[in-house]
Amino acid sequence: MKEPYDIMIVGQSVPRVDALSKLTGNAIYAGDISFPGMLHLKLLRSDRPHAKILNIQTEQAERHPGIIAVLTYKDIPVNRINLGKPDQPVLCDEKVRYIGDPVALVAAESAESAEEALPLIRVDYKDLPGVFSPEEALLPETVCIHENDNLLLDRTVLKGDAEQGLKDSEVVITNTYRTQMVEHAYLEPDAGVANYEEGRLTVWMPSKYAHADLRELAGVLGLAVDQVRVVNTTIGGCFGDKTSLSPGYYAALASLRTKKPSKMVFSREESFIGSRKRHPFIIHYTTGATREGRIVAVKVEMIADAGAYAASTPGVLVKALIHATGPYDVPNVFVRARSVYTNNPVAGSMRGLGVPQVAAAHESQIDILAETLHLDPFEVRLKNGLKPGSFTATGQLLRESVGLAETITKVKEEISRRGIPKASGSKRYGWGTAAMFYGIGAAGRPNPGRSVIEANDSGDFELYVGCGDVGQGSSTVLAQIAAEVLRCKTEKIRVIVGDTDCCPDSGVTAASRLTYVVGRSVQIAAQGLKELLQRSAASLIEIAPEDVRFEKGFFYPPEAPRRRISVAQAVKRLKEEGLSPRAEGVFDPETKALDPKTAQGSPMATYAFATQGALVSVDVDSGEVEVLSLVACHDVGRAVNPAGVTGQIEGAVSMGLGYALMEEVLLKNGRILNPSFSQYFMATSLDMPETQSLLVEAEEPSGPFGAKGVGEPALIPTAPAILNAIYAAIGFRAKELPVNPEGVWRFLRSVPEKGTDDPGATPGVKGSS
Amino acid sequence: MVTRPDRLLLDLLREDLGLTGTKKGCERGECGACTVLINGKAVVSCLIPAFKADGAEILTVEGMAEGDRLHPLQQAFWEEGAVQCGYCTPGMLLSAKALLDESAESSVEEVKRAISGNLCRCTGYTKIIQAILAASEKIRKNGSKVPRE
Repeated sequence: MKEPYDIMIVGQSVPRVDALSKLTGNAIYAGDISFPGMLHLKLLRSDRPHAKILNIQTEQAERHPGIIAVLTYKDIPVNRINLGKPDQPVLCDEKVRYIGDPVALVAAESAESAEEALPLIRVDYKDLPGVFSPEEALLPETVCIHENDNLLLDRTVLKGDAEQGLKDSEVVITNTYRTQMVEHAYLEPDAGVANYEEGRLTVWMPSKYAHADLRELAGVLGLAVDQVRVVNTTIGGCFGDKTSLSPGYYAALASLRTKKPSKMVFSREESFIGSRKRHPFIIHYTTGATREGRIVAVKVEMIADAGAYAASTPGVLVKALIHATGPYDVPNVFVRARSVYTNNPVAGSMRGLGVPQVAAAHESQIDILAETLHLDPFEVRLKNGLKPGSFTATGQLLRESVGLAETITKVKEEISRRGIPKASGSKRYGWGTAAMFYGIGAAGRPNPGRSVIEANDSGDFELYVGCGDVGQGSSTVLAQIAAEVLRCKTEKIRVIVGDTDCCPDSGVTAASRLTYVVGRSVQIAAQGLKELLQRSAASLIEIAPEDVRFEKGFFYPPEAPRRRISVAQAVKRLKEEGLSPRAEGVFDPETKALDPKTAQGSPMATYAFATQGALVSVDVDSGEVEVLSLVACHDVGRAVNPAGVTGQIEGAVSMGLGYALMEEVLLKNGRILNPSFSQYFMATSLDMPETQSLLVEAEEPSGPFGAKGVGEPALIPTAPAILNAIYAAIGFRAKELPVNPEGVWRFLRSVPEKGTDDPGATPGVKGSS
Repeated sequence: MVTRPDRLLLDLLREDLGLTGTKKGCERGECGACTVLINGKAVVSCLIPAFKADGAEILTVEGMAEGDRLHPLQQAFWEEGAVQCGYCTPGMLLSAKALLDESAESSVEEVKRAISGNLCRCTGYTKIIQAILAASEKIRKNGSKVPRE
């Protein structure tokens, strides 16, 4: 919709609505909440990857001083979570399926007592063979982790004829890529507090979807939904996790059973062991193209390790499936994506939902294609890139808001302008690039955003949304959208988030959907409220509503600005008429479900596009890779808050750098070997490159003021851009993540001449020599 | 106040004094979220027994602003968009304050080093570094002792 007024608030880097409380130490995170007489909780977790539970004896632990209760599966009415695929117990009953699977819950007067009681619980197990490799999980003779075989999901994309397309291709490139397991590593360890009082359970937790947590909690505890209230606390980072079976669930169980307020906070090690992970993928990728570099066919087969339970694997796998060809117009496509159960830690949703994994593959492939054909990698991307009028791999016609080409061109220009540093000493330099597209919101199913806005007696506004601000700044963006429509400063909008008693169900904070989906619902709600107020003001001024102007909190006739009516007066009038100064907005993006066999359909209403370029230096003596610069160009539709957008990009660069070069959850027979920040390496301030954010605003007509989203898109191209830069610098084509110095060093030893000769056979992005 | 010999400063601040602005991120001195100043020096309060701080001046995030007047670092973090989830923010502010109290003429490299023990998973550090440099400039302009907004 075109706005009949000048845009004033949207597009401004308005300071965050929650910054002040966070800067003064006043923001309340779940771990900061305490009640007098509160119980402290600890989980006994399985120390073995796969075993039958024969018996659990809790008596000795119950007798330990300070212990109030020891709870097991017997205390849980419906001991399965995950409404889509109810395969995961809250506390294990028949079996344990990964190291860390929760078996018993201790509620004690102090955290120390709870800790002391854990070894006093006796669990008799019968060990079963462990399954740790996703390929092994698929073999018919492998033990089943759940009832049937270990295949959790098997989906395909079929478009055109990929086999024929490959036969017709003049160049065919086949490679296998492996990506690693990654920890979300939000700084706030998982925590939750619950209090059962007068027949009602209140749970305070860092929830990205309070309404879903409420439904699931009520379900497992055998309570009616109106007996549970979930209140969102400040979320200290999430990146897709902090969902389902978080400490809030156990606090709720304990409080319900003991009738005392209960609190659980994970230690960092427990957060590593008990939280979900980014899926490791194995990706077999074949690209067929003409001699001119036009992609004819793509064939992909991939396996994702889901770990012990389904969790959010279906959503992740489908996103990986439909984005597997990358942001390119490919006429013939075959993609098969399978996910399998193993006895590894549970994988879940993490920023990008499977797309960072496939992007590492398709962006390496297109670089290899360019190099093979002696073409400029930017030109090959432009030649094949999606543009208005293109069809995606799922057969979706992209009509508008396709800014890919502009992002490619801008990054190319910026990189060319900067040039490549000359090799010096043991340092070699190279620029690499990578592009991506990412569908905003859930794939091929309804994901409505809802919001409610109210004007109060003093003429300010209260905006109610169910979706938590995980730190990305959604509350600020939503307030800006409301302020824009209601012609006021952002400070006039108070945002109330994630309290199931007063907020509507806005859907989950995930899939980069908040600005686009919930933001649009806020725009609709604010528009509705504005019209209500305008009618009321018009009746006071005694002119037609359409003749009323509205600016800075006042309604007035354009020819007589002094006959103005304030929002507060309009509210008063509405109330006198028995009307409520309140409006609701609902927006559900138009999608077409995916065909179950071919995955053809229009799964998302809009897509974000991006290209990034990375400059690396590689030390040919030590194998160390340093990322020096990162140029990130993103088509966000419209940047509602440019500082928020660049903040997302810069944060994603640090996470993408970690994905490419340092982060990996190391496993041995299902056990995490590095569950601490001193062993799991993430980027520090010393690792960060200089980052330049460039924005493209190819407006999305269905989005609020044209906006799409950026949270996950920002991450997706970073790692492949770094991989391609390493190739440009030294000719090392890494196909396994992360690339560590040892791997680079081994490569350099195996082909010593590569480190000193000019490997930059690729025009456009050359390495230095 | 009286405390047990094994009571950590972090727990004393958070649980006994109710100063929950200081955050617990790892309890092993690896993330920097619990950084406070003891006699002006930045330390991770999860590794310090509380009794070791007996008689010392301890500054937590709650003590940075003077009433409604934010410290220039807080103001700069706000204006530069250096806050996302906010969990690392108190520790970052105090590590930065220790640096700027020593010298308000810090280089980018010195700023990076001063916060290299404070992990942040949201911001990529870029805006945090910008904010510290901006605050440093403001403090230089206004004189080291009267920089309040």
